[in-house]
Amino acid sequence: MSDGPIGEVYLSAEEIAARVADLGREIAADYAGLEPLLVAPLKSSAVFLADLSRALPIHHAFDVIELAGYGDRRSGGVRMIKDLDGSIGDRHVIVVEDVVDTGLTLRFVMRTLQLRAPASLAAVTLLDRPYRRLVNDINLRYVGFTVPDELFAGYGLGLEERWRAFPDLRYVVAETLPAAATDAA
Amino acid sequence: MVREETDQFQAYCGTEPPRFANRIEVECAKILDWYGIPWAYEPTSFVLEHGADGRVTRAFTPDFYLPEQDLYVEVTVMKQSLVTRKNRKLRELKQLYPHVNVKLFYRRDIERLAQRFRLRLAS
Repeated sequence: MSDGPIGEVYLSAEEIAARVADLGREIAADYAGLEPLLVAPLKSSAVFLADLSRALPIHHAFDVIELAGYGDRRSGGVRMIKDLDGSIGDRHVIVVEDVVDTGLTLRFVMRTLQLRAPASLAAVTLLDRPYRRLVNDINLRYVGFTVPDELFAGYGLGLEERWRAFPDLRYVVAETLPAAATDAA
Repeated sequence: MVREETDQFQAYCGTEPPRFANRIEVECAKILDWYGIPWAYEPTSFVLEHGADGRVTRAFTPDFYLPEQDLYVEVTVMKQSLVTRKNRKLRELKQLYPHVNVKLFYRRDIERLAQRFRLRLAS
């Protein structure tokens, strides 16, 4: 199987696992007794969600949402195509993101969930790429890694639906990209 | 000049139809609109220099203003090596108007956004 535009490893599986374990302990300390609900936008956050959930040594639940992509737009703006299964009223909600870049997607998710009157609302991201941040009202409370201004694949992040299953995080060589095709929130 | 009708934008804050300089600016406007981020197009010119007679000789007009973020955004598609003049203007702006928040999006940033949002930059 050719690795195409996939370059060297940026974060090994072991480095990611260690940081996710740290995040689990931090969140557990802050949310002890609150039984938080983890909410992850599909698809690329799925792997991080699974690992974070297993690293969180307190009672909690998780759910997923899915947004229509900008590239698939018709009209009317961003919208959910898969909503939460239940109410979040009075729940302590933590949005689980894989990457935060401009912050636009996370802001939409946070604002949408805020309207449903959770007890609290915060966000955790595995990767923070703050160089193009356009919005700051996103309560990004936990950050796994602040990463360089590069594209990555693996650990759930896909490139034309490939390479999500790599256990580590690898550089994408941008010059060899097809027209336009990576995940990054 | 690329003219877009105001009524096709939902988050546009201006009154006159924006006259974008290029397709990249149009796509940036559409992304902001898609996410419901209120935006204005070139609402403010910042004076950088006056002549001896008091007339404005140099000014800087950032492309977008996001009122909820109090943030100006300048978009350039020039290659990194050709943005020296724009960088200088930006430095002057920050010196003269230290309270103004402005962010410059370079070609590389736009390419990153294009990859994220599946834009066709060549069109």
